[in-house]
Amino acid sequence: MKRSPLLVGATAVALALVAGCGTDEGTASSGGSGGGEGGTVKVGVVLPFSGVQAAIARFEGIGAEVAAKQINDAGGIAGKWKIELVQKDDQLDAARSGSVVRELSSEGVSLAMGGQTTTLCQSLAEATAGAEIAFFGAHCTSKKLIDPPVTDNFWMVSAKDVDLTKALGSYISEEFPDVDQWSVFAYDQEVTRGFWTQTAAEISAQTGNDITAKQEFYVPVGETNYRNQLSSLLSGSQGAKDNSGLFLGVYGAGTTSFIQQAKPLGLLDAYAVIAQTGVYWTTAKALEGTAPSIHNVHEYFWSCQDNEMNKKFVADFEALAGEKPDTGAYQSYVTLNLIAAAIEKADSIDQAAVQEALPGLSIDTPTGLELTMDGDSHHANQPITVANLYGDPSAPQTVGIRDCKTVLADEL
Amino acid sequence: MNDLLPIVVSGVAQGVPIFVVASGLTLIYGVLHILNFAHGAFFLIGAYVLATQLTSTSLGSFVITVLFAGLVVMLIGMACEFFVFRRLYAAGSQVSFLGAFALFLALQGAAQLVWGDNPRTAQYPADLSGATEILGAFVSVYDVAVMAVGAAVAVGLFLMLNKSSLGSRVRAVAQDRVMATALGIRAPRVSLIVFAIGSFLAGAAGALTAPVTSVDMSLAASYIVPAFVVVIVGGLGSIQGALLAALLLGVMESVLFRYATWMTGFSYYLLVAVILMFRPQGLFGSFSRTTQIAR
Repeated sequence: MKRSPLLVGATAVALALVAGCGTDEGTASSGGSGGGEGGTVKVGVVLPFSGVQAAIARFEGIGAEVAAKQINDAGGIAGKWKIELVQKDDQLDAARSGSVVRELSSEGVSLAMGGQTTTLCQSLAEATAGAEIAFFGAHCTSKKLIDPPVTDNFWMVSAKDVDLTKALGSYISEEFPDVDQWSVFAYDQEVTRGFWTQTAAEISAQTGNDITAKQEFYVPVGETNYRNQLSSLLSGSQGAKDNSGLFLGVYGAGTTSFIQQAKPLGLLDAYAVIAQTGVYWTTAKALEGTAPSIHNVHEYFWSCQDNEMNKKFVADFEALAGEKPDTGAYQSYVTLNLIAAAIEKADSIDQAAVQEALPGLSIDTPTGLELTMDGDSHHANQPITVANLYGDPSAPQTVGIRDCKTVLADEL
Repeated sequence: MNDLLPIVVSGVAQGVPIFVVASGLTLIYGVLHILNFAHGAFFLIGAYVLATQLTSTSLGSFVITVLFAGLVVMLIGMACEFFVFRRLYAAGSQVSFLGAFALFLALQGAAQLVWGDNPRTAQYPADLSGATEILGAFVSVYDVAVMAVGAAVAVGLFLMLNKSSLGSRVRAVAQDRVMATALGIRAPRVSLIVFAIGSFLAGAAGALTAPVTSVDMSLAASYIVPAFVVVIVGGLGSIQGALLAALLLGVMESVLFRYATWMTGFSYYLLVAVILMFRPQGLFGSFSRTTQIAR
């Protein structure tokens, strides 16, 4: 009996810590008026705020917060409605979509954004359709979700994968026309396999050369031990560097592990170009100035544009996050700006009226180009940027960004 | 034969780091009969300590930081044993397992609070950068060093358990805690020491893994699952079994990669399925409640 207080105390500490891990719902969801009342419009932000993608989701959430703050500081939408964000944690689990949407609905939310993966985008679109919530896929990339849209209430704001790979292929064929010997290292997923075939098809179309991979390695998602594959890649890379390229179709911890394990083998120096479709910014930051030079494609890289809107976005983001924004933050930022523009055009916060206002609606973006929502496909014509990221200890967050090229998806 | 040698070398390079992680896990089970799920969190904390405290690429600094990471985790492990597990021994293995899982979540949450969400990396020691070709397989010098550490851990644990007075007491407690206590062995102290050694190994293993991977919250699960496979296949509580299972796992992964690429990643499941089908107690395990720690 004497020992029981200690046990109780330890259990309480453990439970408190465990509870702390799972409660990432933003404080913005508390209080406030219901949708439309008192000059407030509630916008749901559904992201995996806990779990393995929590760091990415945190930036995405802050991107939305920056947009909301800028709009609210300017007097609200059309001077009538202030934005109140209602953050919900889907824990990267599509099975939670139903309960998350029920919570949003019970809190008076009729406009929501988010969607970290294709599965989550689809499940959230379906769940919100039943709850009469307009859902904006801020981070979805699959072409299968649009044209026609997976549900009538689903609007995809982020660039679709085929446009990203097309932009990357076009860039590579212009900048590295001599590279025709490619090695591929990617996750064993339909989408990541597709990234390579689409990029290769674009390079082939642009250069007239039939591009095929001389080595292809596909690894299970979540696997981070690549010693066998790297040993084989090294054996196969014994040739002219000038015409050799490496296509990386891994992301997150996969990219970091690949680089860390490939570095001592000298593999990263064996290619004229390394191209990647997954987000490289996070990995490059983590490598603290030692990040290898990789050509990366996404909607946005913070230093690629020199315009007032971008400067303000970067400054406001830095004030909240203490870091430069990444492409996920940009995606959330433009998505909320699009929602605000639609509310202003509709002069209503009713979700049906807002959706009616979306076709043909254009907004300015920090890339300097306009984003326009298509009413048939339910997909925005996003600006896409290809840039070369490399480790630079003297650069902000130790990542240098150069050779940027930004184009609109429909100009590809 | 010439084709097989590089496969074996690659497999050993792949398997030994898993053994280093699994050694502490199986040691703790062997003596205390706790499947310590919190081992994954110990491993994670060790990796974070190295990634945040390593300030130089010199080998000396690296070794000191690995030892420091091991010591930090050892202290955490000892606190866990003293405040949590010691109160659960009598409650049975299921309760201990649940307690270990709760600790895993709590420690992982604490690590997130301390180090944040952003992934981190660690640099290789300059003296261990580069690669070498061994029997036709390209292996990084760092991996060769980790293989040496793995061998040292295996030999060290074997000698400690079989050739030292501490080992005699550990084996006595492992075989019959009540009888060992009746004979004057201070079982709580032995348990604490075993937990300290196991935790130190987890922390050091995490630190050794940090330079080859992304140090983030997913790290705990990605290494603890193979470690559990190794412990189960080797026989719960058997150091030798864990070593053999880790090597088998690594070589099997290499063989599948070479001859059945489409099955790469399935080696864990295959190994567990085959071993449990023909030898459910594991390679060096027994059905007895008493441990096989010294076998």
